[in-house]
Amino acid sequence: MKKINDTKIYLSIIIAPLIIAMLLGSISLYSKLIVEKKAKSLIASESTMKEGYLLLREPQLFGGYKYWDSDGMAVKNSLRYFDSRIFNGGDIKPDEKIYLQLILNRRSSGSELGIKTAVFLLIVSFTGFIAYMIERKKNI
Amino acid sequence: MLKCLKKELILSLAILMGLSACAKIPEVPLSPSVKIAVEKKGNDNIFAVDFTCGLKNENGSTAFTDIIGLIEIKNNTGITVLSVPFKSAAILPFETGIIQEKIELTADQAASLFDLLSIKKEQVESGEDQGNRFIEDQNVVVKNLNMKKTDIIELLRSKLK
Repeated sequence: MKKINDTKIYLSIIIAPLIIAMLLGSISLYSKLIVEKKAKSLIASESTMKEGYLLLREPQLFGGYKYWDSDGMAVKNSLRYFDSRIFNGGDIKPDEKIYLQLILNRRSSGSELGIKTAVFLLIVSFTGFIAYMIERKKNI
Repeated sequence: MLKCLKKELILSLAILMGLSACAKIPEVPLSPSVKIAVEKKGNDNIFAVDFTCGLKNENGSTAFTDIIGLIEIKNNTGITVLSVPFKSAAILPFETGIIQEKIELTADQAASLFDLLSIKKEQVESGEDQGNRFIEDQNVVVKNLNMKKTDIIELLRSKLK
């Protein structure tokens, strides 16, 4: 009976999740290490709160603002409030910082989910690599 | 490997870009209602129709500005009984913009609207009927909706300058 060679299947199991993991991981790490850090320092000061809000207004890939989960509703109400406030020329008051923090937390949980997904895909890719090595040994 | 997937990759990117560029336009007016009151104009009585409804912006990042449109109230046979041209400065993301317009009608022009809403002209004139009515959603249509679609971040950034 002819021996089946599965190396091509294993190669695709290694490459596809690896590419997606690198893409998601880099986006999420950029958000965590650069965007969130900058947003945190901007919302800490009253004079830069609006700038901080604008930075947070762009959602993280995994922390979209359109979703109807329970946390999402609170974030959505905060966005509606701050959008209207800035559009009408108003300021963000220091005691409203907690709502900016809420949006920041949404972004953080989105980037954490992205990192965890990337780790999971790396494990899948690594498993594929082990299977690929075993298959190669069998065929020698 | 990437060479053979080139077509698929380009197609996927084009679909993704197309989907992300689409903004959902408000099609259904929310809670449309009218309040009809009698006003004196010279020797004649006219009927002032205060029309109110909401237009919801369901987009998360697209703001509508300089909105111009027409709301038509149709009777059950599809004939337009009231046309309400409207303007609104802006409807921000996740927000419901309130449209409030006043239309003045003569008794003849208001007759078909009264029929649709089961209002008796004499009762409105005598004050017996306050003239407040909700309109069924199927009788209201938004037409000729024109608006600028602006990214909310760009819009808010322009307000900071």
